[in-house]
Amino acid sequence: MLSVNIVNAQSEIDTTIKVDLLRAPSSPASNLLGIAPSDIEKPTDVSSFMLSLRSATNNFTTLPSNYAIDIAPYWIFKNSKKGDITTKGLSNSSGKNVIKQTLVLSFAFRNPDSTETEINAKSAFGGFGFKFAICRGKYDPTTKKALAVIKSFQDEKIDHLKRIARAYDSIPNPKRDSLQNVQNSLFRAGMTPDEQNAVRSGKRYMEIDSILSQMVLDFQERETTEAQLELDRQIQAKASTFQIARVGWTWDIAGGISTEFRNKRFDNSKLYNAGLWTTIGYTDSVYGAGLFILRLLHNPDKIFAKDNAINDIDDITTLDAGIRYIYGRSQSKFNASLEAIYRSILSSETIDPSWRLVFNAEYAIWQNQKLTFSFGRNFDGTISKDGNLVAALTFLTGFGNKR
Amino acid sequence: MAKSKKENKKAVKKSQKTQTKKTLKKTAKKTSIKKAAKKIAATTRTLASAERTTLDTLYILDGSDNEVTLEVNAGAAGQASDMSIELDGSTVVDKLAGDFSETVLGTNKEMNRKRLRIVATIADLSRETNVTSLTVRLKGGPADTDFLLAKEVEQEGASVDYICLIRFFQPS
Repeated sequence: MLSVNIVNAQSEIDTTIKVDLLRAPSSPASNLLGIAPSDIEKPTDVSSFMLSLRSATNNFTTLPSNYAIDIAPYWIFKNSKKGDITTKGLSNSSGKNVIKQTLVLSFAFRNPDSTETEINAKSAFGGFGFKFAICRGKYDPTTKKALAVIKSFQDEKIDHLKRIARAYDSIPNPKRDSLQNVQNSLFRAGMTPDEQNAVRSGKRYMEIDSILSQMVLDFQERETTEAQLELDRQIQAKASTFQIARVGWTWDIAGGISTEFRNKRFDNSKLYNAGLWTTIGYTDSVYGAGLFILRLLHNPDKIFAKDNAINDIDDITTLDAGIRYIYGRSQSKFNASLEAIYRSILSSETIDPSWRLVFNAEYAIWQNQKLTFSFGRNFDGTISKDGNLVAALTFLTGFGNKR
Repeated sequence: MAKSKKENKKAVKKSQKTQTKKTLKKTAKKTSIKKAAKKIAATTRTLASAERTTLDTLYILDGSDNEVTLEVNAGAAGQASDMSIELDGSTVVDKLAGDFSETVLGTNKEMNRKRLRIVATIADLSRETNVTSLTVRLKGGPADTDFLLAKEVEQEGASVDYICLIRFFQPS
């Protein structure tokens, strides 16, 4: 009697090598200097940015030992004119606002002490990086549908609010009218803008403004109906679980450069390392997703083309590229992918470029049990197959005999 | 002795004169800085108020032919807004999602005694913040003015309703 067990076979294809390894780091400057992501400051306004800088430099008196910061200029300067930042304004995939909204600048400084072994302790290092999106994809059908439902409830609410606002204006209210007349009378013809502003800042004007606004609020609360409250509940039910998913074209660009200040002198510097990444992708809710990544590194810590060996060749430039296509629908049990990676060294002829092509497929039998199959060509040119389906078929073959 | 006393008096007077000159210069500089600040303040004033969702106020006109424009921006980032705007009962825009971009309402002369009604509802869809806001920008009168309303919701997904009533007024 034969039994087939689904087991995990020993891997012949290194499944840790994926196209995603070539992706741009979230903070290029910090990545180039080996600063951990958890150490990166990400202030959301100017005050917290200044606070962070002050703390790192001991009130602007010393250089920090390790300091990394990511700034999104569009969002950090609250008073700048931002354009439409509601869900409607953020729906577009490309345009000048997209670049501005997605731009992140990263700065890093590393001043190692004598115990440091990974980096030259006699030098200090500074890094600068940037990251932005040219295309970020548009809302997928599920997102658009959820927004349309919320909008329909909001449209009904607007009708209620218009009714309330019109009623407030039309219902006779001597107190309101009197206060408005007093407010009007505080101004006279020929006043300069300075004088007008002085009136607006004055106690009397602000008191009346506050009372009038409160009267509107009180009226609104009295006139709010159960139907409006029900609309609020329906909106909240949808809005509290709302998530944005994007499909279509995406294109990100990131780059960074770092400098070594030898003997910790700012007048004695040289280029330490640099990187440039670009990622182009396309996601479709039916046909899957494709991705293309290009990475150019100057003087990386490890050389990908040498199986990630430590870089002992100075001033080396590497070019790596990856392409991937994934087919799989949301909630589907089956998905398949095809990945190709190319790696090379541009500035040295000692190591040949190499490439790898792998096909993966998996099928979920139960929630935590999958049948997997991999087939491909490794960097060294060998053809490999892997996955527990292959192992299971091999196991079956071992028990079969001729009768 | 008498000579030195005289000399002392002269010296003191001289230093007092110098001091007065210096003080006058300083005061003049301060005043000019203050004037410059006020000038900036005169052209763009922000009437901000934390946690305020209603407004009944006025915008001053000067009776000129300069155009008065209106712009309305909703926030914060990632929230969903819907708004309607009426001017003297006529619809300017109805059930508009997102911002109302800068639009001419009329000249200062034409706008006198007119009433602007803006109603909006903003739902908290953002997972980054619970703040909602509405900024009403009026330009073209003697002073450009921003009216800022805002409220932070307590529960994820909740909505905030805004009502703004603005009277256009030319003082006589």
